[in-house]
Amino acid sequence: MRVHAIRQGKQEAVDLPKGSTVKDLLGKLGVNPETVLTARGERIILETAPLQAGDRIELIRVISGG
Amino acid sequence: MASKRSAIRRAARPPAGAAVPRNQDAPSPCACGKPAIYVRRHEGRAYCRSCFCESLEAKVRKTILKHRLVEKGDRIAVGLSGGKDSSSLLFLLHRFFAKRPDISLVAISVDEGIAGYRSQTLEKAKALCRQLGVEHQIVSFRQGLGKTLDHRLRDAKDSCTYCGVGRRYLLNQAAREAKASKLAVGHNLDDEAQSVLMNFFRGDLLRAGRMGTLAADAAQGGQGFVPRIKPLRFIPERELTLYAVLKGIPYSDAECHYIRGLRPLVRDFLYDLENRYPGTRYAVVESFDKLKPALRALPRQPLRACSRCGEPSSQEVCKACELWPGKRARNRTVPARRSRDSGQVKKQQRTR
Ligand SMILES: [Zn+2]
Ligand SMILES: [Zn+2]
Repeated sequence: MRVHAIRQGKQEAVDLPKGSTVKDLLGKLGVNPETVLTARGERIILETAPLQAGDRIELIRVISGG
Repeated sequence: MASKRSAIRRAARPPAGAAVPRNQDAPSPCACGKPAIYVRRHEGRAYCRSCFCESLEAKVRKTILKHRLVEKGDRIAVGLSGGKDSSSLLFLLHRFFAKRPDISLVAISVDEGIAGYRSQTLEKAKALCRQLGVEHQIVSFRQGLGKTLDHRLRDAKDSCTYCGVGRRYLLNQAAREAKASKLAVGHNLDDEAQSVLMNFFRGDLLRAGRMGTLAADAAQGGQGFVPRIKPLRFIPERELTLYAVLKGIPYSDAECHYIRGLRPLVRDFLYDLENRYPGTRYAVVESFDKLKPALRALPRQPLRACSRCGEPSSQEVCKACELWPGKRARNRTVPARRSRDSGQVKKQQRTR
């Protein structure tokens, strides 16, 4: 299935096996789950949340700018 | 063994085509029964939206009470960069103390003059102060130190040192001029753990011993130093981001393009460790706190007035005068009398 990851306003398509979770998505993108929060639409979702085809998942980075 | 476990998992999976139950792999809900939005891994506890916010607020409140960071009659200057940490800090202090008639807040932002970065964060800082009705002052490198950071770095390498020294200098000066009794800064658990490790890696134990962690350390107050407090010292930055998002606090997540050197390496290393071993950052900071009494017992330079600018320093000439030679020599009368006509502190608004 194909989902979309949104990072700093940029969207990228990611193909994942059916039944994948947010954690699988982050793994595929090579993102440490400790460095982001994830949201679907307006809702914050957990790493363990299952994904559906067509999902748009926003990665909110937590690293401070200084 | 492993194959047996995966067989169990396979068996538990619904037949192909069936709707995937939402909570299949989800951890247990919040203790209150509502669905969880955050798992504090080192605690092994899941939190719903409102329980998470309450828990974060309770932790910050506990830090403030336990270490007596805020006392009766305090006027607290809050170093406000417009990033998530200092914005959440101002939001929280306002939430805790806005109704206290004896306690007042003033936000101070430093404009280093970093093109394309600071303007974004300053806009957020202004928006938050407007929203809360908190007095806001902006001091700039250009006026206070003679050059913007962009300009100074044309002939310098270690950007973060120039920036950090200049910013600390101006924040302290502005806080003192605003008659603040405390200077609150947004350092979080990640910042603190990084600083501890960096000081170890550099062999700079004495500096670690001086590391102003909580108000108790600011026995350095007096001599023109406004005691610095770090109410967010035990809150991971991931939780501060979540809090800011959930509360709709305006903040900018722009990253300074000058960041290089040791800190980003240590930061990534700690994130990696934290992911594998939840609780690592707490362990680093706790270890340091246990060590601190021993570090304090080591001899150190007493504070005196910088011979050029009069600001507090452990050397004859302070670090800010050394790194920013174009800086105006002022404040010779620190802290007894200060002229306010330098134009350095721009009043932004005064709504309270
Ligand atoms: Zn709850
Ligand atoms: Zn000086």
